[in-house]
Amino acid sequence: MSILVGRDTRLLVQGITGQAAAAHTERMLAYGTRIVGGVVPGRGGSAVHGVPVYDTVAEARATTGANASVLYLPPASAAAGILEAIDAALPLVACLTEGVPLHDMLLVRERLRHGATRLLGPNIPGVVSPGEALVGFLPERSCAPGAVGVASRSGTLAYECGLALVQAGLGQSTWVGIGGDLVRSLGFREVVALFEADAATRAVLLIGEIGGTEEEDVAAWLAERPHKPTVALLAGRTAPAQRAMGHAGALVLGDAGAYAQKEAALTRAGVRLAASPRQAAALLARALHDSAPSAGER
Amino acid sequence: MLLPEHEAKALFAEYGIAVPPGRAVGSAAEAVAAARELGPPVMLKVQARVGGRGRAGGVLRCADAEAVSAAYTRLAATWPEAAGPRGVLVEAAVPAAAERYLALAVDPRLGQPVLLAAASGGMAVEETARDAPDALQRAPIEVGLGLQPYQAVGLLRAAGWPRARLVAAADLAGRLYRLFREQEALLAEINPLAETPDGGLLALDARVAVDDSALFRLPRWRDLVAADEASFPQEALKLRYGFDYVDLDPEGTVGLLSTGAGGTMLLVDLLRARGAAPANFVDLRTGGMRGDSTRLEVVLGRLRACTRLRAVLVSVFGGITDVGQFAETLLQALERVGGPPEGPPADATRASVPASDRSSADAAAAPARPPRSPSGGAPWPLVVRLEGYGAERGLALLAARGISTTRDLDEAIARVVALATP
Repeated sequence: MSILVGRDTRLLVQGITGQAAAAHTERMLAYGTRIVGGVVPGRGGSAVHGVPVYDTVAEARATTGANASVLYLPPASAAAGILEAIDAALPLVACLTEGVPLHDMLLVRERLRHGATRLLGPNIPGVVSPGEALVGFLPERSCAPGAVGVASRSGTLAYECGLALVQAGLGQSTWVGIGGDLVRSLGFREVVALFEADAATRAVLLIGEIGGTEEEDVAAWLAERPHKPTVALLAGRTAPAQRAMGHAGALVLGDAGAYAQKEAALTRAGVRLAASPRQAAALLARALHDSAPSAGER
Repeated sequence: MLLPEHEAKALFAEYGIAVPPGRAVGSAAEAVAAARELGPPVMLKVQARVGGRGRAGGVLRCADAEAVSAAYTRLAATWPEAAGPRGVLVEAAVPAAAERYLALAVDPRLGQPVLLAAASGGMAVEETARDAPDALQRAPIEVGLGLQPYQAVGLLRAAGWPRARLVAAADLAGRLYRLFREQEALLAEINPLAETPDGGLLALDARVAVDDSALFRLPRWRDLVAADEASFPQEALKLRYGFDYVDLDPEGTVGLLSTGAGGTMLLVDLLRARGAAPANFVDLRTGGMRGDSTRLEVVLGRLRACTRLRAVLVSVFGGITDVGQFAETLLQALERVGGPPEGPPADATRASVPASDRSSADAAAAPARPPRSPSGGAPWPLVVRLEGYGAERGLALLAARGISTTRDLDEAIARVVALATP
């Protein structure tokens, strides 16, 4: 089992004819991801690595029964691509694009409020359920099938943590990139709720950083209920407090954002804080060992 | 990018938001001339793009033109930003009957803009909001609809705004919202918003941050950065070379060449925890380098200004980019920035140094270049940690040049800490 993506995923690649998109499509296909179509206006009828290309997401969805899409679109047109996927009622959209303008994302968020689409990103390396489906460009050497549900704001730090997990003999049920942009969609809280309901996930790793409210929000949610063993690694412990956003930053976010607040909130919720990827893996190995199902269950 | 106050105020004026008469200047003489023209009393405000400027002494009031020159000198002594061609704003000091607060910001939880208003503004607005949460009112805005006048009126009423100024303030909020959307701002804040004795509304300060990700379609701010790169160092590097770089500590002992913001932040944490002082933050975005060594050369060039640097840590987890190619690019960059440790460094800018200044420039440069060590050409020893596709090949290439290499992150940190701490 897994969350968000898996054996049932039928994926569209928006912008599939781009150089990176085509290369990644080949790699995702080799991993075993079921890619049922690509979307590029004006290129319908062609094919990329054997994947049929359609002119619109709606047409691709109607023809292929797609239930997810990954966007390889430049920053200026990424939001339009997300809006098209929302309009076509795709249940899951992953936007990998880095540098999507914030005001474009404000429109996307407004549209998301009125639909059933779940958006990951923008600015994420992807989402993977190891052994089932890989969406995006997460490095395979950082992935192995396992019992740790991983959600990450930062890309490279998550690569490091994934590698440390694999080197410790562990692996992921699903690894979800949520991205670090100010305005995005699915956050730690939503992803952790999915992991809590997923039988294959027995422990959770949150890879966060200073700024924003993701860590505080998930901590508040976890503090209210029993939950699976959870470990967090946060970057920016020694970074100076930022005041560039004037008073408004503090007025909107309250005390959230600084390392000390995040650490305190997570600790109150029973989350263990790790100082390095290797330590995170060690804490998770211990947690999984302590909560291991009996031989009969296994 | 956060705009300098005078730029934000020029923008306010264009949107019909009144600001005090003023002029941005770059010297004491210009400041005095501006003060005479505006008429005393005047305010001198350093155009530093930081929070808490007022509390840090960056704003001085001058009762007469005679005091202006000394005040300018005082600012210039403590604020490097004052040296810019428009480093200090000289502004008419306007009497305020009341100081209020009005802002548009982004609420990341809602994913919406929020209008913020408080009847009592100024430097203590955060404390006011903490002590009396109702004093600060906020209203989320649906971007499809925009800010409706009734929303602004309702919010201002709830914040305790006087009825006589309600319509004018709601109109001003509408103008601020239009600016916020059209300029793709992350923040547009007026604090304080003065009510003048004659009934007008005047933005005494202006804090506007525009979205870096939208600069590709905001030529005005792109041009501003290009015209004055010294005042916008981070933005200039981003626009020119496509990566992020921040000087952390001019006394730093370890330079960083790494990729990913979160990953680099963690490197900084791990180094500091072991007593080393990172000189810089950098996110090289190696995926976009494609064999071009420019970004690496820019970073290595900037690290030369750090006279206490003892080692450089290179850490790249390539994901699916080829770190073998990265190693080749790194060697190329080291060849280009490095030079023989003895003899004059081959530096094109040297020729422009006046003869009388050369000896001091040489003296300043010399201690930064310790004897050549296993570094492939850079003036400091390197520890390189590569992981990802092509790591074996890349590390072998670098090791053949005598560079310290490893695939293990913790090991790389231990080695560089040993080099950096005496």
